Amino acid sequence: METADPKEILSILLDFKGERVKEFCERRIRDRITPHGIFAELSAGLDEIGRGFEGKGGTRYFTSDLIVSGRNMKRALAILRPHFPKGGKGRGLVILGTVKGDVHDIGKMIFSVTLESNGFSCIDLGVDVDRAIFAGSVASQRPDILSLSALLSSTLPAMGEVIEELKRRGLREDVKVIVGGHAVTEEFAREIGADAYGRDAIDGLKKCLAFVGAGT
Amino acid sequence: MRIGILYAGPFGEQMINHISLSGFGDRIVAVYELTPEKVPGGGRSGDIWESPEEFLPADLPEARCDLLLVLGVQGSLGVLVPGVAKRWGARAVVFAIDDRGMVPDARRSIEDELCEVGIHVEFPEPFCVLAGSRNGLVREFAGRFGRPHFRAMVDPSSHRITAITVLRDTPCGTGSSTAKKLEGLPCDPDLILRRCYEEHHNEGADHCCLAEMDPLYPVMQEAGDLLKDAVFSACGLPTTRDLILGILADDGEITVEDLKARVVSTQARRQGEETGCTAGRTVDLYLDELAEEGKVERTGGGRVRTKINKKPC
Ligand code: B12
Repeated sequence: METADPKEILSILLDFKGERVKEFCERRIRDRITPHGIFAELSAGLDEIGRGFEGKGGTRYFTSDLIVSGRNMKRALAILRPHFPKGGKGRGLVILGTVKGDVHDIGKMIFSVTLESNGFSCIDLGVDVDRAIFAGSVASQRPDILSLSALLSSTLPAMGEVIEELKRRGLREDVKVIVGGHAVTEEFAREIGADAYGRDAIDGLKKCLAFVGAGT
Repeated sequence: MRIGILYAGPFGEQMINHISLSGFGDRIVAVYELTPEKVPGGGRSGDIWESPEEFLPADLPEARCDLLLVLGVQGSLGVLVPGVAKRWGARAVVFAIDDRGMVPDARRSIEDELCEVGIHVEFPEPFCVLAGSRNGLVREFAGRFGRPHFRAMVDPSSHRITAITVLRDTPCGTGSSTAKKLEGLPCDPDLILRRCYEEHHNEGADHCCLAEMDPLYPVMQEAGDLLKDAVFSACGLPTTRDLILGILADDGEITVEDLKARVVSTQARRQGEETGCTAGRTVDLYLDELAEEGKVERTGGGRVRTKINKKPC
């Protein structure tokens, strides 16, 4: 099986009509690439677009390119959702959200589908979520795990603020907190007192399974 | 009118697609994707400023057009636009700026070069601010695409929006796609406002606004404000302009900064408070327009005051 051509990936991500992404995903499924493998291929293209957006790559990319590529990633997720490998049942409740000021949600959605396919129930609070909403949901829903995403360096502090809010309301010991997303590092996760950091959705899944005593 | 288009990326493609499907398809006579890869040396050589004509892509087609649209082309290649305009015989150019990366380097010299040969040029920022022009070709285009403009029918008994006609659509198509989502809704300002911004910024929708959204350059926010105010105006609801005039009528003279603090909110409407728009740029635009209409006056020191005499009580 051939590896995906980076140029083709870019043109699929930047196809404003979103017609090519379906054909690509279906072809890669036939090639027996896992959904996470396909996302990794597409994400390499997103990294290239991100670099061009920062003015670091060869081609200059604009906000419009971020929007269209993000839209195509969501199309890919809709196509690949039924193909996620399934396993386990009743493994616990996870509340997910992207922190205040940040509207990136594709990684969070991939993580959520990964968790659901592996027996977790998920409540997605969406994007740009206030710490009070996170804490309020932990209080009312009593989840096993709280998953926080951040893709912007500028919104990293909001992650720490959620943990502080949980402490302030006496909820911190009731829930495991896992953090992830483009801007987050293992070191940062430790600094803010999160219970775990997920490099990607699979790594995050392993850590969540360990939290509920169902390690791989 | 024959239209030639220089474009790049999905930004350009979405506009071309929408303009073509909205009745202007047969006017588009040439479309060329202008990217650094097509330009000798990637357009990075300093010589491009000395003799831009030599850097025109070898495969640039021959064409004759009246109006040249520049859509999503990266700013550093803006220097090539006069050459293409001349080659294609354009008499007017609309150079859309929806992202800081699209701002042409040395915009002034591009303007001068075009002006010298009698080619009119405009740089709408964002594209959907275009509402009219002293140039006939641009005016004709702006009659159909640019700043959104609607006519709404509100049923007096149910107070619902029964129909919205798009008089001028945004070039990206958010105007008409939003209008469709409003039909049947109660004419409630909070509801309509929310629906307008949701639909306008909805990156999942095919006609989503593609402008830059960085708070330092909030053109997407400004575009959303123009759309929301166009809908409000059509529905007979108070617009940001009305709000500005109301504040100035009460206070007489205030600083633009204070005015923005009262009119702008990232949520457009704070709980229980009437606020107008989401970008300071929108207030600046409306103030310029109101000044042109003789309704307000900038008095220096960043202040602004009403020129409308208070009616006697
Ligand atoms: C698409 C995109 C957008 C889209 C997002 C659409 C959407 N609905 O999500 C839009 C257009 C809205 C956007 C906007 C902006 N963006 Co943006 N965007 C991107 C882009 C190209 C891809 C993001 C993405 O979806 N990646 C793919 C997913 C799968 O990756 P991921 O989210 O990291 O998730 C994976 C893992 O991290 C993990 N994961 C994610 N969350 C979690 C959580 C847990 C608990 C776990 C375990 C795992 C996990 O699982 C995923 C799969 O493995 C990136 C570049 C990049 N390479 O990431 C820039 C990028 C993130 N954006 C950037 C910027 C600057 C912006 C803007 C500020 C631009 C602007 N000036 O307006 C705005 C900000 C808007 C806001 N307030 O949030 C920068 C951020 C730089 C920084 N470090 O701060 C980036 C990195 C681009 C760049 N290189 O400059 N963007």
